[in-house]
Amino acid sequence: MTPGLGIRAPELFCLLGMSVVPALGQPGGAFEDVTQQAGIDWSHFNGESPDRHLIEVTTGGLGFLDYDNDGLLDLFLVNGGETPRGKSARPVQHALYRNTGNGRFREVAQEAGVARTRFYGMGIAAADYDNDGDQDIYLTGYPESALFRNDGGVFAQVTDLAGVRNEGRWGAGAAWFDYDRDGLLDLFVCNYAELSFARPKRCAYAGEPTYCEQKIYPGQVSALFRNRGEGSFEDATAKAGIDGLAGRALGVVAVDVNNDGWTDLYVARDGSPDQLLLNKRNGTFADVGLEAEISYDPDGEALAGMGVDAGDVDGDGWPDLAVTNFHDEYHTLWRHSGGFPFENLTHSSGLARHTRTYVGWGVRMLDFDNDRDLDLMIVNGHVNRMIELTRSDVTYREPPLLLANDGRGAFKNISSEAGPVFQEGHLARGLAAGDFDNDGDEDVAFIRLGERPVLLRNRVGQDAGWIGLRLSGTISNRDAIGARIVLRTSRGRQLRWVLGGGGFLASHDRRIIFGLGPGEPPGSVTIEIRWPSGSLERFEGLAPNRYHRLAESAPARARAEP
Amino acid sequence: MSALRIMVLSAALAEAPMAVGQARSRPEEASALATRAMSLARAGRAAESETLINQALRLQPGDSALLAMLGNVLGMQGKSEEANDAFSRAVRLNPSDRASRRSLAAGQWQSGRLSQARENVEIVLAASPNDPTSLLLAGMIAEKMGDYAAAVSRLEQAGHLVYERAESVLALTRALYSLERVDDARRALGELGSLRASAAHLETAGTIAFESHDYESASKFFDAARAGDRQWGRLTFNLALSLYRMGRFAPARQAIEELLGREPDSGEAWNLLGWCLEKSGDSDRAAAALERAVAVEPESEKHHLDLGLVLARRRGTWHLAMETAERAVERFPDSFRSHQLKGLVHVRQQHFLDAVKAYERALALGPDSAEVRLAVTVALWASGLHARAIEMARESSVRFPGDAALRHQLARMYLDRAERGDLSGEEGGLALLRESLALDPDFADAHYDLGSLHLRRGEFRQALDSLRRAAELDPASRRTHYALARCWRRLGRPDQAAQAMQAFRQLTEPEEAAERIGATR
Repeated sequence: MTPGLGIRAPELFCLLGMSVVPALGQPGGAFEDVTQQAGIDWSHFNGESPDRHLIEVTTGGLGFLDYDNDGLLDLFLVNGGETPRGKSARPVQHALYRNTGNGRFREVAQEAGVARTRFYGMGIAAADYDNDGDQDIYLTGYPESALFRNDGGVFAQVTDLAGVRNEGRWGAGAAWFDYDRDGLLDLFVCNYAELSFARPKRCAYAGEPTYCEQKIYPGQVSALFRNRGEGSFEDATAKAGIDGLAGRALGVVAVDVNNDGWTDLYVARDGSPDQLLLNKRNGTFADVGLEAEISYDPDGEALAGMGVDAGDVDGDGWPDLAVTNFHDEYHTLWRHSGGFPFENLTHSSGLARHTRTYVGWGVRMLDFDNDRDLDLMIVNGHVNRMIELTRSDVTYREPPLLLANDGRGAFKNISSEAGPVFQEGHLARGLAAGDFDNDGDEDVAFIRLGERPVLLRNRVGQDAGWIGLRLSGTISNRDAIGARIVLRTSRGRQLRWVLGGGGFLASHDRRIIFGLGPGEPPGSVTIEIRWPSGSLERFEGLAPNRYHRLAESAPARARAEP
Repeated sequence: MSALRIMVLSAALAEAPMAVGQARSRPEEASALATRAMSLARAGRAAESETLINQALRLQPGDSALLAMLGNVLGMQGKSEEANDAFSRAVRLNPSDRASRRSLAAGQWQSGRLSQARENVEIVLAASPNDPTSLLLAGMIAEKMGDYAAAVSRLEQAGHLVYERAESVLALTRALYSLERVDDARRALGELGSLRASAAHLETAGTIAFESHDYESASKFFDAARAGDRQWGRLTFNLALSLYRMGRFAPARQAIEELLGREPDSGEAWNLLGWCLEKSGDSDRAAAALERAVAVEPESEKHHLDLGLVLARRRGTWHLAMETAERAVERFPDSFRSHQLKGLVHVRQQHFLDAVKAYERALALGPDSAEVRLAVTVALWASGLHARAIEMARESSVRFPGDAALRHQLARMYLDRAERGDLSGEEGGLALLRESLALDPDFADAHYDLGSLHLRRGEFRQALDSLRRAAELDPASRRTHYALARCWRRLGRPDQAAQAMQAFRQLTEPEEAAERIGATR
């Protein structure tokens, strides 16, 4: 027991793991495509047109969230939209698939009040911004974005009331996080580029229109909205010192990079230098990307950063970062070991070898087999239909990748054992992760441009030991975004963070699953949490193979970090 | 006739009375004719002198002195070959006749028979090592033969004689430039001022300086030569070109616009104006000027190629670059360069398989171009045809064993494979980089790649050496400064790291601003 830490008994709240046996190497693979049997028949619409607006190929967000608080993860699918010459035969609607608990989902967007928005949709960030116990939704898009407040399973559009319309901007990835530690979730919105449906950029190959390179679209300034409480936000972009940092931002993850208890931001930007925005603890941020050496590749080139995720892939207790890029750039793995610069593990980890020919979008660090280390799933898909006429080694449709971690940050491509979906080419974009069947492993879903999404059930993680946590802030924001969690078992420790954002245009299950591997004795699991408020707590005697709800203790019992 | 030959003939003529007087056995009538011929020659009446000498030779056919005199008067009349023949016969009859041998050497020098000229003048110098005229002639011959060290040595021994004639000053200058004694060359050129050199000599001086990359001196001489010269247009073009090469694009542009004001139909001038504008950052007007060059001289492939190159530099004009390349291919279907341009534009557009086709056509038309082989290799690699790329690079390296760029490309491909997991490629790549640098120690890209490899391997000292050399050779390389900053940081030198990062940022900002122009993804 660590002196001064509050020791609390966990509150059981959820399901025991289900027993399904198929494992890697067995027929069917690690992930089973259950889209059809789940009843998901919605199709994405991207408004592809002869004008080749770049937004047509950069859309495709989705998120797992339990919108009705029934303990079952639901799935929100963000639709794109029409373009002046890319019209839909049916109304373009988002989908909210309610998990009915039997492996099936029912589409309820209309009744939940989130079926339609008046803009071209991009991504989603779900969180309980008003600390009322349910998940609210921020949908990004062009030329505006929207906030939906969840009132007991029905959403109310409160964008203007909240002051987060992000008007005139092409919003992409977004992250909820509490940058000023006032217990209220603030919102960072990646803004991508200047776009005009009226004045399309023209590029062609062999007489066929193609999408122009992103660099001809001037980048925009991302936005930071500070939550003032009472349902309204202040545009704090300038005050935070990030208004001068224009660039084509797509993906963001909020994580405490320097372990000072204040959440920082990594922003993946497409053809603009990536940013590491360190929280200066005074309401401002400083971009230390150059010092950390994450802004450029080793040749000093800004890569086409799309998605980004954070997690400790080498077990050293610091958050490492994975960023998806364009083909020939490789998807990047940055190792963080406490100081700057970060170490570029792209080559030594095997990522270069596995990703050279892919255009990557969604990315998720997940311990899919619950073997105690974070693996990587990346979904890919090109933007240029003509690519196969110009390259012999790159395809238009590209398969997803499942990369298994050896525990030290080196990855092996095991896509061939991951299931049929991993053997096929897709135009994948957003990738969201969440344990929709509550069996103790992360399932996933991804959007495919202009097609039905794919829902994949994890068939292997539950075979190993696991423990699931749902954190609930009291002084901190209710979702505990920004919390740092240390798990100790007989085999050592693991670290996770409750992240804001992460991936590409996606929102993930808020719960944290730690893989324990086989045979972890009961009662050996200890959890230490540093809450976003700064208080530290320890939880002992947690039983494996189930979810636990851990609530932040009352102020009198919490101990602020020095 | 060259000034040098006149000088040599004059010297020979000055020595002639002795030769004439030496012919004791000559019949009286022949002697009288020789004496009269000498007087006439000195009076400049060479033709009449020639007649009398020929009469004397009919009376005394084997008289070497008379033959030497004949050679002189023939030479005075510009009858070079006949004069050479007379001197040759004189020398055969009297091998110790140094004046005739020297005159023969001068004639041979002038007619381009340099080995014979050198042989004869060396015979003279063996007997008279300090003879300034022979030293001067020997220097001039050596300079023409490309033996610049000997030329400078002989000419400097000839003393002030060198500086009495523009021709020898120019020969000395050329030799000094070739020995990279640039300051001495400039000093020698300075002597031209005191000689009241002709416009032609001034132009030659400018040309020598230009060819030696001394554009500052070249521009001065072209500028001096063009005043009032009927070759004003050509000289003004040369002046502008010198200024351009100096990087003085604004005055170069001014000169070329002055020329175009008088001679608007010069495609060459429009072409140069285009490059001046391009270098000044005015790409739109540059393209317009080059289009004018094409319009004025459509038969010149160079204008088409240059227009294509300028258009290919910017994303927003790649489609125009392709149109230009296709026009060039249509107009010059058998020229590998036009197909090469088409390949280049395809590469810029990242249409690599099309680039392979265009470059392979270029290669079929220009199989001896190492540059095209390199381009094919790069395009094959970029298009994903890796095995063929490596095969092409290997085959080309055998065919062009001295080509550093081909070896460098092969190295890059090996290293690329190594980056993607084929670790055996790294040592091969390293060896090839070293081979490339052995062939061309000033190859900035190879130094950069070597430095980057060392940096990745944690060999920071070696990385630093290579990267610093790369930065010296190519200070405008962003990536080199970035890698240097990373290297300094790992060596625990934050100040140097900050300096290098600053250099990187200064080069990055305009480039990132220029990105907003246009390309296919």
